[in-house]
Amino acid sequence: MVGCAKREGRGKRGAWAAPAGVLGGRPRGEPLCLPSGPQRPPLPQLMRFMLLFSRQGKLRLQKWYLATSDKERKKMVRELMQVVLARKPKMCSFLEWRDLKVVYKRYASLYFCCAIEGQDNELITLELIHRYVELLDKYFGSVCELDIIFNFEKAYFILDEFLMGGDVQDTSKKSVLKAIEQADLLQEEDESPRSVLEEMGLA
Amino acid sequence: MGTQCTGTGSWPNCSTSTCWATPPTLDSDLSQGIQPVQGLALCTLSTMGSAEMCRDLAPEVEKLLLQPSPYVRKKAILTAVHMIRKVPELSSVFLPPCVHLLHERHHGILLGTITLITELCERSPAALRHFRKVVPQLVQILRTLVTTGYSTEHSISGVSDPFLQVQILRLLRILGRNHEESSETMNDLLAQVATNTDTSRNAGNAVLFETVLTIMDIRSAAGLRVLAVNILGRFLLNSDRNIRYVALTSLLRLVQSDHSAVQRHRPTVVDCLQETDASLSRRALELSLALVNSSNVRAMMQELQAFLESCPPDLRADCASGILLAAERFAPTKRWHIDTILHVLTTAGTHVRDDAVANLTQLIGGAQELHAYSVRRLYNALAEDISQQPLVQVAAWCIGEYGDLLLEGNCEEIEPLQVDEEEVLALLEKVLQSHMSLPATRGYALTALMKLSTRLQGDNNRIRQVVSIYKSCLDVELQQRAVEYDTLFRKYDHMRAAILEKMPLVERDGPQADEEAKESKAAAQLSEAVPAPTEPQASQLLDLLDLLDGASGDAQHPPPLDPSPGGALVYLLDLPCAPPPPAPIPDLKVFEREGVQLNLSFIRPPENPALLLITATATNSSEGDVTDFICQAAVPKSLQLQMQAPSGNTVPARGGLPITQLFRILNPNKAPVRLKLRLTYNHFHQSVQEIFEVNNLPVESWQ
Repeated sequence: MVGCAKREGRGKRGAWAAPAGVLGGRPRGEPLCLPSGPQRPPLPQLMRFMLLFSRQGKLRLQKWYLATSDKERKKMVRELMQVVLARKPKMCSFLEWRDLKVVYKRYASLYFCCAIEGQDNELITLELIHRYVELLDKYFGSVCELDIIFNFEKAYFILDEFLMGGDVQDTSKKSVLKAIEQADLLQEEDESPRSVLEEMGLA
Repeated sequence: MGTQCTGTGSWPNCSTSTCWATPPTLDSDLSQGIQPVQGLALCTLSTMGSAEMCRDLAPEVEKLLLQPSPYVRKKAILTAVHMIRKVPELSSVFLPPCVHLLHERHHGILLGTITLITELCERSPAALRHFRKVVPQLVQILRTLVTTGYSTEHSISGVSDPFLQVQILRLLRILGRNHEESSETMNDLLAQVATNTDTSRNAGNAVLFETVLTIMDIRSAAGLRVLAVNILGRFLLNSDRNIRYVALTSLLRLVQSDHSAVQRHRPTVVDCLQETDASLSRRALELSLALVNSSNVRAMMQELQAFLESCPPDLRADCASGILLAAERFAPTKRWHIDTILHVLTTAGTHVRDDAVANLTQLIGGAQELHAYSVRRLYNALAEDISQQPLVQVAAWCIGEYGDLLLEGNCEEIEPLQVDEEEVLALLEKVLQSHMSLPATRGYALTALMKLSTRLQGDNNRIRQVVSIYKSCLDVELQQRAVEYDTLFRKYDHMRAAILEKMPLVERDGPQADEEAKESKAAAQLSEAVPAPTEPQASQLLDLLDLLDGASGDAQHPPPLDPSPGGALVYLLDLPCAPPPPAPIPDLKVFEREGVQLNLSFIRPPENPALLLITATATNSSEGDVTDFICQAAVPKSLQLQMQAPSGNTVPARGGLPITQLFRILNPNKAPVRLKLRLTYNHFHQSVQEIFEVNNLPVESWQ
């Protein structure tokens, strides 16, 4: 999850430049999450986290909607991957893990995994996963794992346009894709070649 | 641009340095007016926002809620959701705009608003009351969505915007919970959604499932609840495994409150035991065990035992203990009970709980007429297989106790088998020497051998030999026993016969860990304590004793009753070692008609003084069976009543197995307890309905 320079990839648009300042600024060894204020137990919300990983156990995407420490996250990912990869193809898409429900679905070589709270509706989570895959598909055009590997920041961006804090933002595919297109356009405008004078701010 | 945000937006936690660096940028990004930037800033805030950030930026977000652009507004609303999760005090900031936002047509904004309202209501009862007034509006929105709101943009396989529908249903569930008025407003709509949703694809099923969850949780009409259970029953037959899974899970939640409705789907549930998917078969097992009652116990046990033989190893322990528990609650006859336990021990012996051995020995000991039968069956089982330790332990104990009956050879219930003394001794020696036997098992075997020395006719040389071998055994426990037994042979031979006599019935002590068993035993325990109440009410005592003698002939564990009241009092006084239990409250007979009686027995658990457990026992001493027995109860408003499912609905004639039903009454104000009971049943081909009040409950039950 490091900032990447401009890459050639299978994506339609170029990769985004990531700022060096923020990412490089964290001193090593400092825990990523410090408790803010009195410790509160996590209150119920729709989704705790979403993971994408390959059949070989390589993590391609992780989005956490509840603050957890790095160590804890690694542990959870490792455990959950083991459990999900051990499932046989004919088994149902839901399983209980720790105190959460995990909804997973396999698309080609990738497993899409969502962890939801005990009282939530698993079937609608399946729809949610499917909708995300459809969005990726529409954007990349017949998406495959390589698209997500080379354009992971786009995958995150699409996820952020679709879900926020674990809740669905917009139920219309069209408007989500339009928003991403517009943001891409804005980015391209910004990167279009400028004359020397413009760069100096004189024109 | 908001490039700063793109990088941090993917980090869902807050590190101190970035937290302090970002707020000034976020603030300017939010108020900048360029939509993508505002969107990114809101995204960052909602994923990474710490409590301080949320407090600082709440006014900005509130302003964005009223912006004309739906793109920013929908994000602002969801950011508000996150802020409220982090800083609940901000609820007051975001509550006022909600009602206004509900009038929006944009699906994204609507969805966000409903999520926001859900979050507000879950956190504050005041907000919950406030938002109850929008129930009619929500009903209208959902109705429009379902009937005319089809738009290709938002629909998934023919269902209009299932995400929005599910979210509205969730909010309705929260608003309608424990509130009659709101629930009534929703009834029609829920029925409409339940019947009109297209269930050919997952989206429709998701909406239907959410509808069922809502119906189950609110104060819905009875017809609607039955509809919900039937929908779940239909789900059980669906070819999609996921749908079967959610159906089983939901039925399990329903089985206590709508027991009879779920019973109708029992055959389908039992079929689900055959599933190959372990999570499904586990659910099916739990549900099947919950559905066992006295009328279907034989059929269910057969299915469950068949399942035990073929089930995956991680389910074995649960299945075995579930079967044993159900057998204890609902066994129609002692022999059936012994057979069932035996079968479980032979099939899954290593997975049963530790107290299974004690329970079985207790059970066999109490069933005098079945001694010969039990010892034969156990001997045959042992001869086949000495590896299942609990089985071996029970068999060894039995052979030791009832060895003489084993050798007699005549038992009507199984085919006669001539058993030789030498064979019996050889078998026990084999158990002693086998490397598969645990030390405890060996102890059992050694003691059994010793007991046989008085039960068998032949001379005891072989036994003496074995005992003396074990005097030098490395296991200290065995060695001690062997030495003691050897001394018995050598120095105290005259006392041997008296010491090794048949054991008296051991008192069933200590409640099991399972609360259900505890509560169902409450009746049995109470009937044990009743023969000796602290106040000598002789005539009432005789009545109750008659009742017990008549009704408990086939009951599970007949307590040792002394027929005369005086003797019973002495029996109670002879129990000084047991800690003095709280004075048992006397039973109360509340109803009698033509031989059908209803008795109430009371327990006040000492750890919870507001709780009163009443066990209603219906007995039948007439010549005709009582069928379709239903007992309903009502209490005054100051009390809370919870009724558990009855043990069955049939009481056979002439003192057949009574029906017991447990009522839990919470009486925190110590108000006098009054009950109104309504009984309906069929007796002598007539349907009987009786309604009566019970006002004369003993004072100790509520003070």
